[in-house]
Amino acid sequence: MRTFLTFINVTWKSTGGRISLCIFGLCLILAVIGPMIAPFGPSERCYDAAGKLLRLTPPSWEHPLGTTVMGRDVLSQMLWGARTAMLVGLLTALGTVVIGLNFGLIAGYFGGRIDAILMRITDILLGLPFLPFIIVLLALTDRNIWTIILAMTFVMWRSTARIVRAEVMSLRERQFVAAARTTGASDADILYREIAPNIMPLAVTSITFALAWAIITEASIGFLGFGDPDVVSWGSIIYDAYASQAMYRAPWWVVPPGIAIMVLVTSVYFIGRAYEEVINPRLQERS
Amino acid sequence: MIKVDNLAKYFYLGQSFSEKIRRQEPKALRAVDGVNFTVEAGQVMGLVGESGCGKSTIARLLVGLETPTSGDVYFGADSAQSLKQRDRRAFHRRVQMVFQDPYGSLNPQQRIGEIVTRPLIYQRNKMTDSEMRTLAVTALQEAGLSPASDYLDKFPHQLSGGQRQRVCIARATVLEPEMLIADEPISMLDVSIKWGIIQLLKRLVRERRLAMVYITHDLSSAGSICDQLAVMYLGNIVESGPAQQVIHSPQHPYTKALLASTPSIDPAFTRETAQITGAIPNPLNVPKGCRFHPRCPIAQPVCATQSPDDRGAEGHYAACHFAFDSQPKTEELA
Repeated sequence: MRTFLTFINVTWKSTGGRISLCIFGLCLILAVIGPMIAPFGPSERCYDAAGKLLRLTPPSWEHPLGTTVMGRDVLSQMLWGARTAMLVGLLTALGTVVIGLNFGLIAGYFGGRIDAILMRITDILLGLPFLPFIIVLLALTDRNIWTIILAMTFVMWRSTARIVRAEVMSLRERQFVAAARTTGASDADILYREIAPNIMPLAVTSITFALAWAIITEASIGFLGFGDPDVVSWGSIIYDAYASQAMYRAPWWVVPPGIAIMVLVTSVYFIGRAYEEVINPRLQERS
Repeated sequence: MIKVDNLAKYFYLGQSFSEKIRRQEPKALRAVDGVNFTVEAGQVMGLVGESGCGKSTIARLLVGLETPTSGDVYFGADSAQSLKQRDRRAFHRRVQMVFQDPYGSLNPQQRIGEIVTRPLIYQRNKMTDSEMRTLAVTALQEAGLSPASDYLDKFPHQLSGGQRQRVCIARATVLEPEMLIADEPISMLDVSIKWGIIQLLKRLVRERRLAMVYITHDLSSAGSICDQLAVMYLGNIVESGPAQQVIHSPQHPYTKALLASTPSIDPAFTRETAQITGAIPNPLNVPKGCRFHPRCPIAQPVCATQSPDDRGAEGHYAACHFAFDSQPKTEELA
């Protein structure tokens, strides 16, 4: 909790960080309440007063972002899509950091054979091509949003583990680790109470990158048409527009999800950057 | 009383493939090679020597960061090695250490209050937060940081070097150990602060009846804090005895050389200079006979073949074939 508050505090200090936090916060709120305030369901077909399906109508008061070729409201789809993007992004980022952090901590701290085994596992994963692996996995199993999250987490923790391990290897030689050991600290005490707090800045930066990367990847999977058919995501909205050959005729259909992905991912990157600049506790106090 | 009995630590070097095939003995770096001394409660034992003589390895052995190759440390009748195997936490409760670097030995992410309570948490003491806080405040105030409430919520980087070292001392004393190891505790501090830390350590030793091992390369500070002094060379103690005797009538040529190289504040003061040349030999390849003979100004043929036994009496011993031969001459220290 304290880490989280410091994180907000630190990020808030730069203008870029402040704007990005606001955008991210807005997306988070929309992800939670979006489906409740959405005027239509994600797959609901809209008809005009005469009972005619509203195919590809440009933006209007009734439908601020127009409708799709199937007569669906783009704004409502966007709102439902925000939930998907945030859900996938946050869960993947969380999973990535939890697994990567623990792998890195244990491998870096114990070294020797444990390190060798854990790092060979990481190396094997580093050999996997990211997107093709996920697509093949989705093709072999259920095309389900949870499978996507699991598949992305499975591949993405590898780089976090490597970065954390390198940092742990230098931290474990520091004298405060020896000092903790001489007061009777166990290995778990040293790992999670002495070393891990010093890794937190790195972990937070790695969370933001995982988050951005997960959102992009989920959108790519959706755009390639491998997404969960039952869940609307920003990527699948673009895919639908592309598949129905309406890309050039209905810009209101493709531009909003494109911009939304870009803005959200950029804001996440900027939060990471803003935080990275002030990760040193000494710098926090000065400003 | 704490007794260090024939303590030794060899570091074995990795072997090349051809050495393994030829089944050669692995090369041993003899960092500490059979060291004996005792420390009484309420007394300070000084270990003095050049860098590389093994004094820091002794500190790490005493405090349990390294396991000795042979020998043991006894707290009264209890063996430290068996205690450490049986109950590691109980062992650490009895020996605490103040490290050389007050900057690196405090976790930068923890507040001072946390740093001083962590030992209690790691000991699984089952105390309430307020009990631990009280102990931490007491330890900080005894270490000269009062009122402690000014410091509890600060981070290490907000304190000066001397204050940090006091925090380290508070962390070491909060567990109420029997023995305190201080590994060059003042070598990284400003000159103006050193004296205060020495006074603090002295007071803690007297008041808490601590047995302290004070490790330094600086004979002048050792003289002012230590009751007993042991001079180390290449993993051995070459001379030991009451601090004043060792400083005022050194018997071993190495001790004399160390004293001669201690700068004095008085420009008119000149001590008899003992000439020693060359550097400390490679501990992988310890000289035969007396370990000091290649650098010794008074070396004789016997020194190259026969390793000297301790000579002396009444607690003052020197491992030199020629120690105590002539009447000990007393030198005045400025």
